[in-house]
Amino acid sequence: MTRLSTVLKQAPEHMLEPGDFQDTLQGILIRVVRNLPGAPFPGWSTAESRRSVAERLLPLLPEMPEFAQGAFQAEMPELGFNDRQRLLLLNLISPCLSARQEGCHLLISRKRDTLAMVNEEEHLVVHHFLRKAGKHGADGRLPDLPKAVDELCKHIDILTTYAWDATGNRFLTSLPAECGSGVQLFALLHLPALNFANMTGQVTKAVEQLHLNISPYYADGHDDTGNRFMLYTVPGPDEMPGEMAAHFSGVVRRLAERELGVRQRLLREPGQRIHDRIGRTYGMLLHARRLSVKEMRDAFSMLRLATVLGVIEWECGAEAFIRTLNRLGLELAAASATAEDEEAAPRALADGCRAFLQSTPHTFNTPNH
Amino acid sequence: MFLTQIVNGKMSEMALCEECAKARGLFDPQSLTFSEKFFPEELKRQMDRIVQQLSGGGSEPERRQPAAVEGSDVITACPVCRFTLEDYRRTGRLGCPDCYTFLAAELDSCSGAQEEDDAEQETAQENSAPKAQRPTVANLSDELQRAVEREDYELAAHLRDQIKAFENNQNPTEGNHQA
Ligand SMILES: [Zn+2]
Ligand SMILES: [Zn+2]
Repeated sequence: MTRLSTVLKQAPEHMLEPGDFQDTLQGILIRVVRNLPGAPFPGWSTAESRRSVAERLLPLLPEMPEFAQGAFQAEMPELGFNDRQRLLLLNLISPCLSARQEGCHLLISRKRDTLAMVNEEEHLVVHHFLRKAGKHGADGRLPDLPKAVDELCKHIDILTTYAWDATGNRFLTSLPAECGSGVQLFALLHLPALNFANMTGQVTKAVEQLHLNISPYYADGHDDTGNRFMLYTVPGPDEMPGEMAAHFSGVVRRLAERELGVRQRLLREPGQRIHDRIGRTYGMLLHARRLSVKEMRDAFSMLRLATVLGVIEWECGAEAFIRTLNRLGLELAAASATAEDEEAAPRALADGCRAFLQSTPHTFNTPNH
Repeated sequence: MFLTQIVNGKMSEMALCEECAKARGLFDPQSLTFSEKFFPEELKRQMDRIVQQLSGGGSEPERRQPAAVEGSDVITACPVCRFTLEDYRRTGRLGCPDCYTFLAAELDSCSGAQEEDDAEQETAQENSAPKAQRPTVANLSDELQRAVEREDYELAAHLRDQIKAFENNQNPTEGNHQA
């Protein structure tokens, strides 16, 4: 049995590693939902019926290969406020489950790439993060998504019999409109150039025409915090998971390529707007005395962009720098989230950023055109 | 999908199931604060107080029907989980996998209405949805009680807000509610 402290010690790979496509695609998440026949859905259940669902599912889940190397497991009431905070920050729980209590359970694989949630919105919800494409990808860039979806579903479907409608050829879910394959795909994207160029509205319209959605990654009312977005499929009927996965991969790729194109255009722009933004960000991080989490996230996004564009060169190398920056960002956000002293938190954040920049040797390349 | 703003260990009101809300338009995620979800005991106390006020306090001299159990809805309840069509119209969700079998015919007939309901949800109180039975405080409070019993605080909070809105509309001048 893996301990919570072990799981929380390090962020999952997809949150630390520089993303694919020049730090654009942070990771892909496959979400699979299933329900047990004969039991009320979690949204319409008593603690007792949730417990009986958990008793049926919990002994089966460790049989999934994703959990073969061990897993952390807890019933929600065992997790305190700060634990849930950290888990949320690390993508190791869904917001939905993080608010639930009795009869609701969380399993996290030792490698932190798979979660099983019992009595989230449906009886069983599995989240699986794909590792970096480079290690696992068929074409060297994007992971083989159709294959990954197929494998994960097989691992889930062999465990037991789920609520299934043979006539409609679909898995039953609490929301009638979502009955179907039970598979939903998310891509976590870092799109600083598209956002800087005010093109996210255009992108949103374009992906909607492709029957996908895109929305900000952080749900704190600041729409574009850290220039992070997620692209996702809309669950529904008549979806063949394999086809959906292939279609999704294609859109992710096109979106990433679009971002890279806009970056190049911005670099060449005579007005030097992107250089201006990077320079201002750099100056702010070096001299600010108070920073909000949103300011930090926006600034770190610009540093990542400056790094892949070669505007700032780090002695430790671009990849190592981005990894360290990502870790620092998570730690500062977590510290700020659980800070005792509301007044001191923005100062601590600014101090942390400044110390980091000052102690990380680098060269700032000023453009000479 | 991912939450952020927690100041001084206190949760401010925030979109919880942003993922679900955006991707699937389920319950209004704002109807329940994060802390309410984290401390359901406190929420239950709040809800119990409201239920008591409504049923015992007698602040509402309204004709009261004994809940949705009488009338046409009886036939349309799922025998496995007792979910009714009314519940479906309100939440857009079903109670259990067997609801698909038992409520099948009716599901089709109100699936169109459902979408309109979603769009109207926020203003549903002023011009209560034509196809749904007009809600009364008594009905809402019965539903609230059932939701609290089921520990469905998401729905409970939604009903609480509906009751508040309803009362404000019905009795704009009445000042005898306990705040
Ligand atoms: Zn949810
Ligand atoms: Zn049912």
